[in-house]
Amino acid sequence: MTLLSPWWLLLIPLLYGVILLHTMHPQRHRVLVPSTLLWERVLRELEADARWHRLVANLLLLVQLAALLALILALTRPAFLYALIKQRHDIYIVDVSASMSAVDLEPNRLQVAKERLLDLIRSDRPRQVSIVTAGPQPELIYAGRGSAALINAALLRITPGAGDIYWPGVVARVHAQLTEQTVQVTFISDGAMDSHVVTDLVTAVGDTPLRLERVSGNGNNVGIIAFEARQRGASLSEYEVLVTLANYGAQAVEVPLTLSGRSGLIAERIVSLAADSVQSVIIPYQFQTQDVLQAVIDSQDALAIDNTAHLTAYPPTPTRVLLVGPGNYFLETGLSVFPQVRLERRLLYPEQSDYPLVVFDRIPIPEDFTGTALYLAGAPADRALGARRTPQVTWYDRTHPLTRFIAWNDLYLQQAFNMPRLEGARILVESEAGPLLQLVRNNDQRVITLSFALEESDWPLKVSFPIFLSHLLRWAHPEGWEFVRNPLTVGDSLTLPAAFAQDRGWTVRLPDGSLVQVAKEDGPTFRDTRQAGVYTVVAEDNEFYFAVNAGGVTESDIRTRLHMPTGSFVDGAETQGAPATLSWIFALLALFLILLESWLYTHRVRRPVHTDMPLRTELWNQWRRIRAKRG
Amino acid sequence: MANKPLGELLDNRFLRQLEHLRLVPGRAATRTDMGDVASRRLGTSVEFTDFREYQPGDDFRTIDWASLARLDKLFVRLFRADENLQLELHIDASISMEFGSPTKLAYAVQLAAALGFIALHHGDVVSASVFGRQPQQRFAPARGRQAIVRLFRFLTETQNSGGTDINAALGRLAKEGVGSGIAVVISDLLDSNGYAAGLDALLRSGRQVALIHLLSPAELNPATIGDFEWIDSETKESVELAVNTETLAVYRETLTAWLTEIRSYCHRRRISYFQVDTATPVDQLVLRHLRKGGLLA
Repeated sequence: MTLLSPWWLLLIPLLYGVILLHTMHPQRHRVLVPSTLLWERVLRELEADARWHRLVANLLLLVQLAALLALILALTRPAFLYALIKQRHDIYIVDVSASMSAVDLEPNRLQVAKERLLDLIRSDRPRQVSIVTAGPQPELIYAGRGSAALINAALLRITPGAGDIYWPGVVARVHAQLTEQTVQVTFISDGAMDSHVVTDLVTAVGDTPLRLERVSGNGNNVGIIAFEARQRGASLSEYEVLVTLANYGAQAVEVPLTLSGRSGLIAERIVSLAADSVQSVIIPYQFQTQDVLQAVIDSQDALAIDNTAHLTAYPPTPTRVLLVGPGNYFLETGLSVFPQVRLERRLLYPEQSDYPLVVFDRIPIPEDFTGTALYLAGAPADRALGARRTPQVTWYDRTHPLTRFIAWNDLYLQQAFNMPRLEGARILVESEAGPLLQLVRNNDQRVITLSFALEESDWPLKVSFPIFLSHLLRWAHPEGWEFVRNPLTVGDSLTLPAAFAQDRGWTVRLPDGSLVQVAKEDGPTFRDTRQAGVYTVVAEDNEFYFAVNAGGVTESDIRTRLHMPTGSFVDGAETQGAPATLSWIFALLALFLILLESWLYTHRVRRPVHTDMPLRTELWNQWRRIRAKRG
Repeated sequence: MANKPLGELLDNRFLRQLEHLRLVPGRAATRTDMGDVASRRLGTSVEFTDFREYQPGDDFRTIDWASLARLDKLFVRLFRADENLQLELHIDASISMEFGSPTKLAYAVQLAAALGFIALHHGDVVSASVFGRQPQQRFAPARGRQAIVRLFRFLTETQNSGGTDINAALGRLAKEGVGSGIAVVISDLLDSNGYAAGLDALLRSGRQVALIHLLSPAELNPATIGDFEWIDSETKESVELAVNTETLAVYRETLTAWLTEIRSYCHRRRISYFQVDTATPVDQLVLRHLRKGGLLA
């Protein structure tokens, strides 16, 4: 017997309340009558039937107690028979995120979670078991009849991940395992996550109850939650390295921080962190060439994986821009401001070009184009759509990297073509004539369409024009503008550089030294970023590095943020028609007993209270004796 | 009933109807004086009934001289005596009689007035008493139509007498008076000590007894359901009872058994018994039920 809502058993003391009600003296109407002669005879007549009467009165009490008990049991949602009838299937989700490697539980949280999982399977006794790991790369590690040996073997393969949970992956795997026989889904976790994830899970499991099992320790941890670098000054090589530390413990600590690069030690700091605080350390650094920076803190905390972080840097490369068209004075003048730009001009688009940015000036974009393009409208097809004179900008996206920091509503446009919204386009600037600037992203191409001719506006004369070009160049070719490549977090994917591809594909060396092959047929996307550290893409004569870090605001904070009692069910799931078949049986029983009680009271109990409660009578007699003595 | 105008006691139409009624005496009829009622006893009226042999002490005036001449034996002539009827009206005026609408006491007073009127109208002797635990108020024996007003005045001034002890009150009344005649007891008999001893005492004293048993509709057919604490109006004792339909059924069974017990007792003692619902109009009771029951003719 499994009680899905056992806390309703707290209502059992109400049974004593029913007994108490039976012992209470009822409120009677006092009526003056000529004589009680006949009523006394009636009373004697009834008392002659006292045995039956007492029996019925006691029966009434028993029926009331049984009805209340049945009601309470209905609320506890017993599911024993349901499990037997339905060939019970349970899904267990084990949190394998970075926080589960914390050693504040012996030997670590994940091991405790595994043991808890085995205990639960033993007590739940499901016929079918599915086990899903919830980590940066969720997996279904077991689905079968619940063989202990196979489950143990599957659990042995689980190791704590280095990053946060990829919830869409978890939800997809759990959803795929749900069947009509699924009784409940159990999530075993340390609760070091935001509570909104439970909402996602509830959505995934639908009507199936979601149970939470928590394994958590004290949660004291100091970690590197961010390792970044930003340009300082006009020089492309001068940077400020930013290391952000967080102390999620209850006590203040002093942590030694070491920053080093390929050339050796860069800086050492002692960082004082108050309890539950965050602090950033800024260290100036000038990059000279390709480099890998490493930040390390020496902290005896529960989670070691976020005590190290990496950052990779490469010298910027020139940005090659191809202008396809008869020539555009304003555009060419604007691009010439940027020394990193190498501008080439052609009348036709050459096949298989590798320009980071191609500008199609009033020339249609070929269908087989791949890469990033800026399309300046004005081709005959665009003119056929017609134009609106002096349209006003009505809206623009203030957050997009291409349009931010620009006052688009200050533009004066002589006319703009009535360009329609392209399929799948994101509108960046909109006017009365329609979209002025829109972005279409497909698998292999990114196209920005400008719906007016530069010479038919005052835009090239405004400051916002070179700002837009700067945004465009950085967005299209960040490698030409930044030494530093932003590090990935565990579970992220990366597009491998085409220049490092070999005949069959790419070879990637993982932080633990093992090699992974990525076939060209599978595309340049690399997803196996389960480990934190520096990954190396190995080519014949060169190597490319990228860093994957474990720490972060969510993963380094290994304190329990999901405040649910262990063993409890999420409210959302509980109210969506849980498999409480027995609840209905008990509810019907309670209803029947209430009806029986009503019938007994109306038809059988002649004196429901007065003389038939020995306890009350005895108390009454005692009180009368005491009163007689005092009187 | 205090201070109730005499005119309201019985209306004229009813009184005119009563003038045609007479009390029907049973085996006992008090002979106080020569009266208008033919007695079963042999007496001195002009109505011949029988002969018997002369016995010493017989009135010579009753010797039948013709028989002596013809048979040479002394016979005396017997005549039906004309006697006055003694009517005693005993009214229960306990507090329990103050219930009902009209109250049982008011009903009893009206009934007693009607019976008294009949008796006095025909020259019979009428006395009356009101009792509770003991006889409280008395109307001395009176005769003649001129006593009607006094009787009515006595009845209108009837007050309730507190608790009830029917046996004690009737026992004491039995020892008083002439010891014969018709004793009409009007009561609800709601006395936990019973009524039999008192009625037996009246019977032993030679009276013909008629019992008119008044009960109000609420007593005959209670319909109230709920949890009650019934308080006795006389003893102030209480009975707690949850009244439901089944309790009411038991009440009705108990009432029927009680009434049967009273009726059976009266039948054995040859007491004329009338169980009266006070919802029955007094004129209907007198003109129909009491005549049918043989008390009036």
